[in-house]
Amino acid sequence: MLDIIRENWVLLLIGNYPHGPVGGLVGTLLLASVSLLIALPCSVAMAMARNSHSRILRGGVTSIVWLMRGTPLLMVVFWSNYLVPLLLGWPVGPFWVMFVALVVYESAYLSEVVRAGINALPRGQSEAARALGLPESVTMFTIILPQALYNSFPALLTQFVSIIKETSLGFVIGVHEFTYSAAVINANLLVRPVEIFSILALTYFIICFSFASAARWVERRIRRNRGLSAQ
Amino acid sequence: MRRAILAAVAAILGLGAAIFLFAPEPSDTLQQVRSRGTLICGVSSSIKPFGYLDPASRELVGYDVDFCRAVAEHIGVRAQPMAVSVEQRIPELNAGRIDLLVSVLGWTPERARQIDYSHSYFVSRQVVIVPHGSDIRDLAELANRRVSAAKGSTGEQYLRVKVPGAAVLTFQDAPSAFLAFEQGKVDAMVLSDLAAMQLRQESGSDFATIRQPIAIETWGLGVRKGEKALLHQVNAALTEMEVKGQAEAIFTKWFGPGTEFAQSRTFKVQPIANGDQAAEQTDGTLLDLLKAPYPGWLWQGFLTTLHLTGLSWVLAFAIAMLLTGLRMSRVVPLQWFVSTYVEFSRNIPLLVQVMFWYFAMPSLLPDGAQLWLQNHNSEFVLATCALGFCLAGYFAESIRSGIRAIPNGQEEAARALGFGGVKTLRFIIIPQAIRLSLPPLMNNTLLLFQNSSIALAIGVHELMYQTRAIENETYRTVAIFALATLMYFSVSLLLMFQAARVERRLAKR
Amino acid sequence: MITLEHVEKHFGALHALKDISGQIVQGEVAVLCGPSGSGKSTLIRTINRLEEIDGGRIIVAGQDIHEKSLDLNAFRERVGFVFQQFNLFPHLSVLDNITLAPRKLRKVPKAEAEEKALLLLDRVGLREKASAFPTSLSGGQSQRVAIARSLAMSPEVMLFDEPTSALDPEMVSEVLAVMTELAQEGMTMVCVTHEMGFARSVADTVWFLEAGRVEAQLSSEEFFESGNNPRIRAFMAHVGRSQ
Repeated sequence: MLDIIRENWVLLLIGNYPHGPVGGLVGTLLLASVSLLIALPCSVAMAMARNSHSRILRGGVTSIVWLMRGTPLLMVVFWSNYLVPLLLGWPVGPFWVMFVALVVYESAYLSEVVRAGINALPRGQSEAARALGLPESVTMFTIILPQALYNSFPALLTQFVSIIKETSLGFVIGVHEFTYSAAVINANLLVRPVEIFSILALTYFIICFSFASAARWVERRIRRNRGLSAQ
Repeated sequence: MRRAILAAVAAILGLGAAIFLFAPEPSDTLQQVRSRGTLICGVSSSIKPFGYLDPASRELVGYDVDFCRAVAEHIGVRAQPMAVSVEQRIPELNAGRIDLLVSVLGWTPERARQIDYSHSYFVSRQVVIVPHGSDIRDLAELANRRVSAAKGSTGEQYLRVKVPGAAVLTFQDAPSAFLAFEQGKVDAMVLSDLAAMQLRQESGSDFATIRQPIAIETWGLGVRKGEKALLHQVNAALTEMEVKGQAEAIFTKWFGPGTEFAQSRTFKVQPIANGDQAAEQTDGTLLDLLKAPYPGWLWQGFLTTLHLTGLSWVLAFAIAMLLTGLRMSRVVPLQWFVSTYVEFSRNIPLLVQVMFWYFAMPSLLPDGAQLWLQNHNSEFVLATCALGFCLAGYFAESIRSGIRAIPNGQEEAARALGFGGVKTLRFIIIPQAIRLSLPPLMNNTLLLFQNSSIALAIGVHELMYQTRAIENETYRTVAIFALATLMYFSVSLLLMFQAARVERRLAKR
Repeated sequence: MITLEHVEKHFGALHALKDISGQIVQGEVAVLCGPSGSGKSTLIRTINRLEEIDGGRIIVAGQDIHEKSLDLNAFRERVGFVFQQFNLFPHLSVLDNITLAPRKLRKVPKAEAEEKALLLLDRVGLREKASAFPTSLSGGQSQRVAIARSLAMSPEVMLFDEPTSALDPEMVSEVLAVMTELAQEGMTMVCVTHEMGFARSVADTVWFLEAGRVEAQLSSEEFFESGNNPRIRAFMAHVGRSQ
């Protein structure tokens, strides 16, 4: 097992960069981070749209969320693989295809997280803001969202773990991420799948478990803070 | 809510209809290549010695890559080889992500309808290999046997035509297909004679080759349909390479004496026979999808998805019950085991778990179990195990959260009334725990149903796999995707409604 | 200052406010009391339109607050409101809680807003808590900050919705002291409260509500000497017992 790592660690870490796109573990983390970074503002906008007064906006966003919740991510990936280059009119690499699929899919899921955070705030918060004469937009951006995002931070971290795991599906459309690197090594060595897939699984585990544990730690802290405020 | 669902369904159908109006506009790729200064070639990344990643330099090298470089040089631009999978290479070309396919691409009439071929640059024999001592001696005996092939390869297509009775199992690439062959999951494998030669050397294992080749195929470089200028340039380059001996030199470098193959070249660059005739055939229509065998494929895929979901659900629930029992045992090492199990199942991508079960697990099993797997649709069984064992972790967590949500006072009250430990569990705790964990369990079930699609990666013929297979044959991407999305969405919707109903009923109590 | 004319309010089948009329003049301190569910909290929330009404009119400082042309937020700046649950913003410091509205709405420069906030904190006796966060405050301190937050907009009227009901008994007096001081300075105040001691010593008028109707609208002296109304007597006996 160690000799596989020793001989292939660069490939596992960064793929065949600089002769190709950044791949390997770095590719996985890059894809996951960029996707979260873009999906988050989208999800906040969607969560706000679902609480808005316009029925069309509300209905439209609600259908998107339901559609995403009812469709396997793999289906979204294949759609994206076909549609994104067609709609843009220029060729798009698999990395960005996967990025679009993850952003669309995760925005829907994250918007549920953010919405839950908004709805979990005591009604008194928005009432107090209204009683002070604060307009809706100021109330949203200075009172509601900061608290909702802070409170749902652990849930967001948990969702980041999901995104890391989901990037592995990029393998199916040829994204040069971590699973792809392992598959390439497997194709080279042919007869040592147990070791290669163990390395793959363990590495994913270490990364995802660290983030999941961090999420739990943050959640305990936030809950403690809230406990004080209930006094 | 009902309106939102209607809108969602309308969106799927509307998207489908809208995309029909789009058609990729024709463009002159040669001009783009010249102004860009690079020629992007799609090459394989895992097929030695045509296109593969050299582990030392992590660069793509091989016979195909050298042809790519030579053609680029002839045009006067830089070559940029890009890895494409066998299955994705034609879609990638047609999507415009690459300019030229130099990717072990044999000529077939079906492919010639989708892309244009250059002159031939390689000739390969497709053969069938079987384990030593196999009772299969000629092609006819492959009927009703399991044969592996790389997804979308010519071998697969010829096999379907020549031996319609054979059960073809396709894999992401040739090495995966060979691994399945070596692990005895299939009775035979179809591949090129060169690949067979090379796999024999690399793996150190031995196997027999059926003498009669399944096909002799001519390979060409592929360009998008209608790219006359580029095709002309490519053909001119190939002809010049033949005349100057460069083509011969590349062959000798990879296959000649001194290589593991020690072959001599028996072909020359020349126009592919029948090449133009097939190009005249017209595109199919949308109605093609309704023709046999496609509706049957889709329906069969749908049923497989439901079976896969159902069986792995039962497995997951049983394991989750066991885990819950262990967790409540108050024996510390057992509790540790359960926590570790849950963390592993939740923090490793399901795809990786599925691949581990499929490629690695069988070799860890005793011989008897391996044998049983070979004879019992191993990819379906292993996918069920992977899904079941993974979801068991999620189920166990849901049940635990249900138990934890019961107020402490409940147990105290039961004790105060005189219930004993077991009776408290049986009459007070468990009924409440099940009710409280029902909503998360429903969500987990939805997750399980949708994630069963990941089984496509190991060749289970479930809905997503069949969808892709039909897409590959008909190129009616939008229609077939919309149909599959609708099928997934309908079942998900049923599950989501059920979950919402359960939650409402619980809220009332 | 505040005029109510035939105010009606329904919550579905529940008729919460029935034909309520009355007047509160500048500088007056009015206490709304009555048994729980009598509609007093609903009534005070209608005065700054946290609840919409179904009929009648409410005029505050000469302004019909249900007129279409009314800028509701600008109107609310002129009316302070103190909640039973304080509703401080937990992610902002005490100082930021107080300066938020002046800075966002009146574009008061930071330094100026903070200077005024510190003066207000002086008045409620909490200057040393300026940089603390709401989670670290006791209930009485939180409510005093909430009062300071309302005062920061220099309102013409202050509305108090059971400001002491969520507090531990020993903290009630510190909040009442602030309110008493405010009354003595001439602030127009409407308070929903069960603190009859406060009503007796500070209030000018007492409104007694029952089942959504104003049963009695009396001056403070009249109210506490009106032994002849059996409902008030019953209510007073009940409140007296529970304290």
